[in-house]
Amino acid sequence: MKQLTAVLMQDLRIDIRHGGQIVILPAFFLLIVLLYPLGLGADVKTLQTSGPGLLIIAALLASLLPLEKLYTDDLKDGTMDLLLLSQQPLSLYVTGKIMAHWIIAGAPLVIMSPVLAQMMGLGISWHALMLVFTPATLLFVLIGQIAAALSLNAQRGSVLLALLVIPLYIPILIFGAGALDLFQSGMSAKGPALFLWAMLAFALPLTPLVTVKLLKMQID
Amino acid sequence: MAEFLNMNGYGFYIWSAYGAALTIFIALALATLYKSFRLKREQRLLGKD
Amino acid sequence: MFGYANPKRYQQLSRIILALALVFAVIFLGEGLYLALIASPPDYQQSETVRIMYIHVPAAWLSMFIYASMAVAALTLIIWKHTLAGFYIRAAAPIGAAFTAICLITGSLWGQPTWGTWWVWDARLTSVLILFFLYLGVMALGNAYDNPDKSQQASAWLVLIGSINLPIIKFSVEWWNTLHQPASLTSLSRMANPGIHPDMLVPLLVMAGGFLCLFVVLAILRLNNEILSRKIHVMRLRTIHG
Repeated sequence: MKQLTAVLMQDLRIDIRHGGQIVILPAFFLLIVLLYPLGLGADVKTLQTSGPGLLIIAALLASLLPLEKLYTDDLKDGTMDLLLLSQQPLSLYVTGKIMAHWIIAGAPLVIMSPVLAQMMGLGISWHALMLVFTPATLLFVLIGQIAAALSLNAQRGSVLLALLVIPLYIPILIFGAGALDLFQSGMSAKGPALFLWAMLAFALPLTPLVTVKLLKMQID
Repeated sequence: MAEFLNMNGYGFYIWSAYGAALTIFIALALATLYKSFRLKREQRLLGKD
Repeated sequence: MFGYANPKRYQQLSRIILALALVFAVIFLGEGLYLALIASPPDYQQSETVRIMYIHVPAAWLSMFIYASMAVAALTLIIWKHTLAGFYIRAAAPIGAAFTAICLITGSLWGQPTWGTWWVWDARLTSVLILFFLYLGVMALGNAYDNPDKSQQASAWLVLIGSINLPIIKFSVEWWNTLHQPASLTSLSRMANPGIHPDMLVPLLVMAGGFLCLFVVLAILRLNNEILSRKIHVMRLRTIHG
């Protein structure tokens, strides 16, 4: 437990001291959303019909940004080798990393989502947005972790990472946008929303295990 | 023959489809054979040293 | 089965299979092309364009079959550390991508005359497009590291993760398709169900057999390349380290 919080706090501290993705990512999220009315026209009807999908796409794109750097620093400065030598379970380290990752790159997007939904003129209540954005951003983080560990230190890392991760993000996009769509039209969004949470329940225990395996593969 | 090639007016689509498949297969086969040729030459050169 | 990890026995066996597959590929493809282009009747609805089906549908089958075979190889590599399985993934991925590309291109060329458009966001076409990107990812990851062992392992993991995700992706795309209700279309691949007339089913199966043999030929040739390339890598390391 101590190790877990140590990793978590250290990652948060590093992020804040280095200019903070915790600030930049929400700004990027807003910036993408800003592009839509400029590209599609500010017509309220258009924005309302395409808004739910656009919000999830913007969150998806913002989620791509932090992935490449997740483990590279720890690999380069020797933290990872020390961890392996110290016989500490790598799974605690990875779990701490995942939590820090979501606090930095997931939670701010969840908090931002009602504001952006207002700007797009969507008629979706804030708790409906939470209900969709919480599992969606968590899934972006979890799948992103696997992809980041998979392509750690690879050549052409960032492009490769996007190529790997976007196909895997597709179900999240579909069910997230579908749920928001149904929420907006006042219909029951139980199906897609539940599916998002089910995917989360599936990915949550598996991701640390797979990520640990992948990191071990990358180190030796 | 011309009638066969014309395929009841759909000749363009049908022959493009078959042509595309053929092109891709040939490209893949050529790339594979060329790589095999290159690797074998490299093996010979390395063996000489 | 693991006895064939022995390179000598692998070489003997692969030579026999290669020859057999080559002969059968020529026979099946010759017969298949004859049946598909000449002997089979035009469809009463789609007229001659149905002839595109005889490459489109077998290519779709092969693209899925190859991914499934790669998933088995990935498990073999990860659990039993069987190197040949890693070579197989690298050898098969570009062939799978090629079949997927053929499926997409011919589907587009079939869509234009039958639906009046080059591309429709139909559930099947969309999933095939996603499958194509998965193949590209596996290929890219297979070349991403200087250490070939690491490249192999990483792409095997990606194949495995992809194969867990593929059913979810397929399900989600189908759900998305019902939600957005595109103009009602008769799905191209519906033609491929066993209910179709034997005059069309036979050429379809013969072409599929031909494609399968062609895949085996290409896969063995590429597998040999992979093995040779690894040998050269080892020889190089040896010359460097003396």
